[in-house]
Amino acid sequence: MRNRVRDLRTARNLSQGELAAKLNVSRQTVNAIETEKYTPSLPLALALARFFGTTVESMFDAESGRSSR
Amino acid sequence: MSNNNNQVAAFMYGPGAAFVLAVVIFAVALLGHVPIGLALLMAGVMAAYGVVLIAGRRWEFIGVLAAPGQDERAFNLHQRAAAAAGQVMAAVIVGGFMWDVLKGNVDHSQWPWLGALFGVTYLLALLVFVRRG
Repeated sequence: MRNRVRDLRTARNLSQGELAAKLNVSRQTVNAIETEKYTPSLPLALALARFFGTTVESMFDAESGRSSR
Repeated sequence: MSNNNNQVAAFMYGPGAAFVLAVVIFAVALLGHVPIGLALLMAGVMAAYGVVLIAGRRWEFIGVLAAPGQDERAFNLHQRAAAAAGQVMAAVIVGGFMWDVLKGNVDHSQWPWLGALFGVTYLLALLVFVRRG
């Protein structure tokens, strides 16, 4: 699913590992989300949105998720 | 820090289980009067698996093997791999049963028991998961 996680992370000068540590997930999970290989669960999506001070809807493009796969 | 500790604890669970199993295998083999060399080999294979889990933790594949519960994606990968392995096992059980029937070995066949165990486990698990939502 298309998302803005990488943009938001780099805007805060965070590495994937640092973001992963904040969210209690592995660096590979953050990478998989950013490269749109993995769609996070609702709790993780909410945690991401909370961390970046935004909403899930503004981070993830649901329409792209529906059209892919 | 505690997050780091949790991840280390989650990771050590896999290798730790492998080392404990190596000791158990060795003890069972000795109790079963298996030759000591073979018992050491059996335990050594399991211990080597534990070492691989530790040495290869930077590789995601090994990381998921060592700690499938480390995060939701690892758990998701683990579940999909387990489901794939289960599908293969189901096919092997049915195929093995058919093979034994063809050879006329039904009386001594272990496949029906394995198939029944597989089926009942699946049905019970499905029942529990349906109820939990």
